[in-house]
Amino acid sequence: MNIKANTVLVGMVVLLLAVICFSLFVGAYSVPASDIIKSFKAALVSSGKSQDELIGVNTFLLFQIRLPRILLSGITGAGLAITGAAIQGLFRNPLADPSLIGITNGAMLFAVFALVMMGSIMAFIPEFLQQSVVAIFAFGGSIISTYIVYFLSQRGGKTFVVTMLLAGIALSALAAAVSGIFIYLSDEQQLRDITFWTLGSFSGASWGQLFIAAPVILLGSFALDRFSVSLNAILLGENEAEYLGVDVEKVKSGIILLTSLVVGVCIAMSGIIGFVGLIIPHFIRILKGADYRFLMKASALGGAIFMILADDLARTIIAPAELPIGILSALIGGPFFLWLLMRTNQERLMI
Amino acid sequence: MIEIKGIDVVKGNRKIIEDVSFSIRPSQFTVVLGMNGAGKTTLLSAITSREKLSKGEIVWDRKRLYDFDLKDLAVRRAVLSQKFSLGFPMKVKELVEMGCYPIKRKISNIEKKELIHNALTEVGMRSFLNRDFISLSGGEQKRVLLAKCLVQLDDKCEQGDSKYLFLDEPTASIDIQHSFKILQLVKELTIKKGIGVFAILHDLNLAAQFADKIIILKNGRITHKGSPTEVFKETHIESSLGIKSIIQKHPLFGCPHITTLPS
Repeated sequence: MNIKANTVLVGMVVLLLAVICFSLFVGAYSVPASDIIKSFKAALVSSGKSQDELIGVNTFLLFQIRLPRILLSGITGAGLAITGAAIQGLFRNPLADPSLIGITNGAMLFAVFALVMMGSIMAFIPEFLQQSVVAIFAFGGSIISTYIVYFLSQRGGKTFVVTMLLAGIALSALAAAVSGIFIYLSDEQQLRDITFWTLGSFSGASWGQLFIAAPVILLGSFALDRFSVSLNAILLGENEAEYLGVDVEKVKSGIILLTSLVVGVCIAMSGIIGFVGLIIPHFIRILKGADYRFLMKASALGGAIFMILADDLARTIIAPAELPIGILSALIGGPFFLWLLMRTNQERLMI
Repeated sequence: MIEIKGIDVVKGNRKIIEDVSFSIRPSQFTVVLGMNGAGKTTLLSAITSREKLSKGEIVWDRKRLYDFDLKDLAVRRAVLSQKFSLGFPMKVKELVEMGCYPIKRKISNIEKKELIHNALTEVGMRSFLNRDFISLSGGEQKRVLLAKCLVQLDDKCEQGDSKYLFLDEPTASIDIQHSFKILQLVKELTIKKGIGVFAILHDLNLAAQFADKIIILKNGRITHKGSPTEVFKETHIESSLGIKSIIQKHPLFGCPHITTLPS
């Protein structure tokens, strides 16, 4: 990696921090900058208990509602984008993203099942887990469907990626059809819940969620980043990668395992947010090429920045109500990416 | 030295390689000839550990091929494949840099740059450093990939055991001038650096000029092996390669010169 790439990464880290700070100010309820500083002090000195009631409210708003939400949207964006980059590299296909190997629809099926059958299944769920039953089901669904797809594409100790893609498409269709049955059986309220879940949202973000999601997504992303040299070699084809000393089968199982974990947690925490995993890596490629040593890190940072900004809009654009993040990420990302694509008239970047 | 001892390779129900034995020595240029479907590429894949053997064994510097892990093999041999495609656009220098991936020791950016520049200069592609790989012609791409192999086998990377370069039709889609230059470069590698070369070629005269040893495959079996003068006989060429020919002595190099004839 040359120095220029490193400079870009440092720039992105600075931008991410700036976006996080900026996002603290953004919301349906406005908090002046001076109050933010006071709240910071209050949070640090007296763990949120201030004499001044207003400062107390602000502190609660900033540190119990906004900050966890900003951080959760950031790591979710990072997780979705880095897994998108990894899956595209593994499949050597610009159209690949985690949803292609069945993760998303598997999660949807289980989440829809949980939402529709809530009444009947609650009796079997321990009380402390009842709050997160949809999240747990979604996570389970994404892991199970990925493993079915992975298992189906194995022959003689080898994973065949095209078979995997096809198995993913078939299983996704199957999961969508079964989800359809549950949707058909659902009542009005359940239908609304399902629709909102599939459009994604960070509105329920809490420190509790963050403490579960952050370690998995961050460690998963770091682990994925360690595959970047191998992914570069795989760009030349599996044979070539092995000639360069890359154990392609290990890379495949590692990336698929990590992707299912990271995306599973992302979906569990915030519902389905499409687009980020597909578009952010392309955006980075157009700007700086396909070298995975840069692409993986930059995708993670870019995904985080994009998601935080999209969520800022989601919670302000029709304040005090909120737009689902899934709608906004595509609404902003789509035209922006098209503009970038059209602006790039260099033939080399056309795929 | 790589010793290939009585190997069979079976794919499906078909025996692609049958009872093949020979050796590839360091500092030697070994060329395999044969008609399409004779099993040349499968043989190369078997020796480079990409194909499972159903019989026999391959011994690489007194150690069995399957006892090496991929990383150890990657510093001992480089392969220039016949077919390749690049998943996403990459620059020439990024691609050649991949030759550094197997290096186990820490390597500085300056060293890396020097390796890449030298290798590209050797294949005559130095000025293409910052070009996009997919914008190059087929022949130019092959030369860039050869530069990657050169980086992979550079002595600065790993000292010690002998190194081997495998070339699957290195001159396919390359113009006459560069075909010659590439083989000359490869020949120099055998002489100056002691690298053992194993190449699949179709041009009999290029093979006669550069090879130290020639192997002819037919239907997965070796029909002839030896020096160019031993192997290039009119009867051998007709029986194994299916074409009539006249063989004369090359006026300059002294090696056999083959003129093929319409049957």
